Amino acid sequence: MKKFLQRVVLVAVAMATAQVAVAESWRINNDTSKGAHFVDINAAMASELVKDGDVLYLDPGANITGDQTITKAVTVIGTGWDFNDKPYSPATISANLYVKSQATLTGIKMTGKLYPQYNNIVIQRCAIYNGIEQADANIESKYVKIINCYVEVPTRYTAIRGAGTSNTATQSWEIYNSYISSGGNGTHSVHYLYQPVIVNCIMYCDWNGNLFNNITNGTIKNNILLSYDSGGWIPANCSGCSVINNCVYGANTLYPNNTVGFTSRDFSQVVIQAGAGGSWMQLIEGSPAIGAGEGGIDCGPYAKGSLYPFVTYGMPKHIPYFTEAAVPAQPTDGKVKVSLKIVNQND
Amino acid sequence: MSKPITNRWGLRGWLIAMCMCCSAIASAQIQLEYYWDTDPGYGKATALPVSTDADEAGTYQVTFEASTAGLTVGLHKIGMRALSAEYWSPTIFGYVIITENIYADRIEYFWDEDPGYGQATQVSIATGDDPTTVSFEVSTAGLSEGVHMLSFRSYAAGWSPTLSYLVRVESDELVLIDAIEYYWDTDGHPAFGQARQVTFTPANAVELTDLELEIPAGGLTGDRTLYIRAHSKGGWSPFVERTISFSAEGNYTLDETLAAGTARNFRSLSEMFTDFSTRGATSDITVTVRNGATFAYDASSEAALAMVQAVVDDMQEWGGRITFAAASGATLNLTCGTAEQLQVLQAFATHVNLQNVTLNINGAAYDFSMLDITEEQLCSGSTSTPRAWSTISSELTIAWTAVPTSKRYVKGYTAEGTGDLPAMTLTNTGADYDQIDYHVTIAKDGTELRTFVYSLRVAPSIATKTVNFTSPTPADAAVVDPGTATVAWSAVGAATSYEVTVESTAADGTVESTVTEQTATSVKITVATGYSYIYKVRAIGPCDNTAESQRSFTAFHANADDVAALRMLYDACGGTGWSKQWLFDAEVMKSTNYPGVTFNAEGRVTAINVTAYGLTGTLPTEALSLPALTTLNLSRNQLKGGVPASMLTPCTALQTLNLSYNQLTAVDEALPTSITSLDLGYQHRVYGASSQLHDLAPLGTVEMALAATYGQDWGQSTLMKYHHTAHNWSATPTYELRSATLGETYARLTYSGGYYHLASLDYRQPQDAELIMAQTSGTANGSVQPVRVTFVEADANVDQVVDVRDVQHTLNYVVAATGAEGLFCWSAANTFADALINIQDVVVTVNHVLDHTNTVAQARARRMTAVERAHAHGRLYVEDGYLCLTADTAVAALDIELQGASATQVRLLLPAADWQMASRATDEGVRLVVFSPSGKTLPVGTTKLLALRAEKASPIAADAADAHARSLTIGVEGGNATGLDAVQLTEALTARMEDGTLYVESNVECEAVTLSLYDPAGRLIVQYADATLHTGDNTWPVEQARQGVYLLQVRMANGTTDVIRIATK
Repeated sequence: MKKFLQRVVLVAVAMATAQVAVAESWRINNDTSKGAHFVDINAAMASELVKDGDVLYLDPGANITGDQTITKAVTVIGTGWDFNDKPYSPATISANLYVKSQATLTGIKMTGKLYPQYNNIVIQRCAIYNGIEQADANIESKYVKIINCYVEVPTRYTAIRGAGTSNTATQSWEIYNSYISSGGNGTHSVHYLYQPVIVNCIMYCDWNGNLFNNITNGTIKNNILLSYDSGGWIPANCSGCSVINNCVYGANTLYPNNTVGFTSRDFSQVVIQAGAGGSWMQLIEGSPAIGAGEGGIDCGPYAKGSLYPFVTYGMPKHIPYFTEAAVPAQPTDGKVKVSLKIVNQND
Repeated sequence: MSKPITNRWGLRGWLIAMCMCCSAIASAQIQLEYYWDTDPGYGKATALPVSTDADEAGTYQVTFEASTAGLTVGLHKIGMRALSAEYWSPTIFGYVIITENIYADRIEYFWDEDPGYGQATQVSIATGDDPTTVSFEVSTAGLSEGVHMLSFRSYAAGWSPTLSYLVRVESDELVLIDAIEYYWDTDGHPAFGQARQVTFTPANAVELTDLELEIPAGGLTGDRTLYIRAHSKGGWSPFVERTISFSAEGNYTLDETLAAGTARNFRSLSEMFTDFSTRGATSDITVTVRNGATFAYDASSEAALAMVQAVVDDMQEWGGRITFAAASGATLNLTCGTAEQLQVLQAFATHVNLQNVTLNINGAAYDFSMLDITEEQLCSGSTSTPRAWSTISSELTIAWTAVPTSKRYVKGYTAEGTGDLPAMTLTNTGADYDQIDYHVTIAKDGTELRTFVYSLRVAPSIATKTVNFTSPTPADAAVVDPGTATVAWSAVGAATSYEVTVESTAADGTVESTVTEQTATSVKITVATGYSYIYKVRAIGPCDNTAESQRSFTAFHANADDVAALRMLYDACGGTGWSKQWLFDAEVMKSTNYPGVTFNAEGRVTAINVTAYGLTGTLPTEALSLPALTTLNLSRNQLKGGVPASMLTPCTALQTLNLSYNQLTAVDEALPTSITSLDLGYQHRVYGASSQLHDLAPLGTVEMALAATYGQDWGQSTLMKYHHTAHNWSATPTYELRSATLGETYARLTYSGGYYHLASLDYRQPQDAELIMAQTSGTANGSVQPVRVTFVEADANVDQVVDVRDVQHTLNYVVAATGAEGLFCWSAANTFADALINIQDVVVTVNHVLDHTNTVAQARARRMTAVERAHAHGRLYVEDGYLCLTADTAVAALDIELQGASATQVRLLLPAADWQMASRATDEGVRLVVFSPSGKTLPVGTTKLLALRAEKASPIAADAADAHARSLTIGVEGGNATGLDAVQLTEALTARMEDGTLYVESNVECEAVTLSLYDPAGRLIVQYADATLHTGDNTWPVEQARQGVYLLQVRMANGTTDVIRIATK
């Protein structure tokens, strides 16, 4: 009997082991002819097949429209962005994306606004052309990480906006090695965040707005900061902030421990402006941002020694991608021969 | 990984700071001492200096350092006391631990969460030393990739503060691509990892060349989509998606001896049609037929025919062809039943090429291979290749029609025909390629099987063309500056290239030639001083036709003598201030050094055109030695003074001289006769501003009295009068009298009959008005002359005499009489001096008439002979106490002088409503002016004018005007001399002026006579005193400058005076 019981226990353990969820991979494509699992993220979230921990791949060329909401702790992997030399087209989320779970987004291009509405969301290597916003003080979304992203907004909007100066709903956001651009009078690059960490970024405001506004206890270092604001780069209402080792436009007695890198509102004094993806925003030769960061590292997203040196094209880490694919339009003597070049993104 | 740790926690005690407080001790002076461990006794311990001042509470605050020298490690006691006066305070004690220097002896670290002091990962370090840097490795085992918090602390006598750092932990492992898979759309989009796997060696970067993909069993047909994706442990790559067409293509064999299933082999035509119709036949296909074999295909069944039809449809849609080839011979026999089936097979045959293969359809041979030849290129004038289209099949009819293009350049073609296309000699008459398209129809029994187009493309011949040079090519035989000359030409029709030959000849006659061939239509030639060049461009067209053109030019050089002459002109006319200056000292001699100067090939100056360069000063009188100069244009500058002929004398070739728009004042010497085009116009006028004038002071002001006529010289400058053709100063251009700003024109002077005539008079300016006389024709057209204008008040008709004609003239103006003739000077007529001409002016004018001696009338009356009186317009006489007028012309106004009567002794008999009379007493009687304010006239015939109440009253002079204010001659009768011997004088003399000579005919001899001649303007122009009159003509030279009425005053020795009116024409 005892032996039997032992068998029963073993079986039960074995059954329990069989119940352990294995991460599944799912394809998303609005083009139903491509055989993807779901036409959009909403459909994936609605499916019982998709579980926490699963991976959602956006097909090349997919164009997801209509507001999307992530409600499961999934990883959404895009195709990268800002390239035109790959043998496939980027996927695009042409809509607002609400993240209401501890999800990870990587390699995604989206033209709508991103709404992080959960704790510990990771947004990495994404291009977001309508900004990131979580202005609802009643929704907790702490510890959001924005890494290696390109974030911009149309004129007169703020690039990254939290819930409030001292509101802990959006406390401790971390922004690393990203390009953050806002535009328009009275708008700001980063606004209403409590205890944010902003390190090794390029922050740019092309009009009369502040790079930082209503920030409390922030750590702002190793960044390249250029604002067209008449006040230069001065963080407005940045209470209790540590603002050091940034490469900035114009001296500032309030935050003296920074390097004056710009003598005019001209990015080319510090970084390369031409050449999207590759050389874009790399430091120019002799740039004042070289070695101006904390511990002697460079300022800006590409800095060696920084936590997340910028990765061009937003290629997701450890994901392979094709650089060349020569496929004939027709077989030759009945044979189809292709030539491929594939690289794994290890950076 | 390792992280250097700095350890600075050690205790180093040498002197121990002590503090004592001593309460109020009476003495102001106290002593302090201390000792370690054992008391040596009062006053024997180590003394301390002490402050002598207590605080307000009487307390001394003493701070001192106690030496620990010599003390052992461990706990020691220190005793301290104070002496005040003679009493020692109680000894107070303290305890001090004396230790060695203490260094950290261990370090510990932890990741992320603090496990508690001493519980983290320990790092041992040597003790007893003074380590400032400690290096050790920190293990990342068990950590996930990403950012972690690494914390350190050390322990010496206690735990140091914990230091933390953010560290990104990454795996050293290179993630490899471990899977590549692909699938066809027919595979149904398999899940990740479930597609067709590619075998390869995992690597971080994979390159696969000519990877042959597996095609599903049964093959693929049509357009299929291929998906390829790769995998590493990070996940799946984006897929590559491509579409591949699987229609039939490439090479196949038709060999029944090969095993079934042999790749790309058909064992029968049935297999072939089945495959092609299934896959689609959208490309060119070659089927190698087993040599010597014969294959048959029966298309009688619906299914068999449908396959052929499918292939035909594809071929027609995509334009592909099937080539059947054999090494030396093979046969394909296609058969069918109905005519419709036959059409399908024949249509198939039209898409087939045959190489050593015979294609029979129902036993008849078909070969459309020759349809592969769709075009022939020909040279114009050559013969085309005949095409034996009839050999396609004896079963078919071939009809063709020529379709020319819209150019229609091609000639000599056959318009239409059937069967074979004959050879034709074709020419292209155009400049471009042109072609004839033969639309060929292949039919069977009237049903069209196939059409195709065969083109004969004929190249044009450019042999009849020329190469046309275009800008900036120098003109032929031009002079070109050293440097580079560009020769350009228009593309020549169908030319394919151009051969450019440049031949340069040096001054010593050395000739060099270069030849280049190019497609561009321009070339640059290096031009060197002293060389001349001939360049030839030969266009090379199709079929080696050519066309060419040639030109030449010479490198610029300047004759030294001419340059010297230019320098003289340049210096004389303020060259350094010119807008474009001449460079005499330039390193390279170029024509551009002399803007405005043209040189010929010999380096001689042929033209100077420095218009508006800003020339100043006066033209030089030195000779301008430019023998080749043909054109000299110095217009629109600021040159002043005269035009010196001496400057131009050496310019024997000068043909065109333009000095317009300067400020020149005179031409005092005749200019060279070689000049055929002379422009002296618009002197003192500002170019482009019609109302602006330069300073006119150098011209002086001409006094001008308004008169009906003037002589040829009315005071204008020699520049205005210069007549270049006649080489004198007899020019008689027209002039206009204008306001000072030239904006208004008051009169025009035109020349005829030896006089200037005033015309178009509309003068309303005051006396002495400063005006401008502007030349409006001739060489100096537009030039100006300041004039100061005067007029004779009341002289309305500007004949310089104020008489009854002025009355009538003014009256006509007032009543706006029709038919009024002659000039009317508004200003002269405005005798009432207001803004209007009205009857008041007439009245005042009458008074003016009466104020003036009517010398004309008197003179006429006194000299008029009986014959003349008989021919006068009328006669005035006294009859029966009345003054009567008998006239043959209607009289409008009368000026009558009576002797022997006063104003009160005469009464006007004319109706008072229409006639008025004004009178003025004279020495002899009375003078009367009769006029009609209402414009009436005295009728022809006899009119009783006045009733006379003086018995001796008789007319002694009369003047009259008709309704047009023209002069009427009225004779008087019944009058006698009135104490003036002038009657005798008048009758004795007559005068006239001809050709600059004054003739005075006298019938008596007189001495001591004074003759005074007044011109029409009233100016005394000549006076001869103490002259002797002989009988007959007496002559004196006079200057007859203008046309009009001259007055000759004759004063006898006895003082008798008379005036003779001389009218000149």
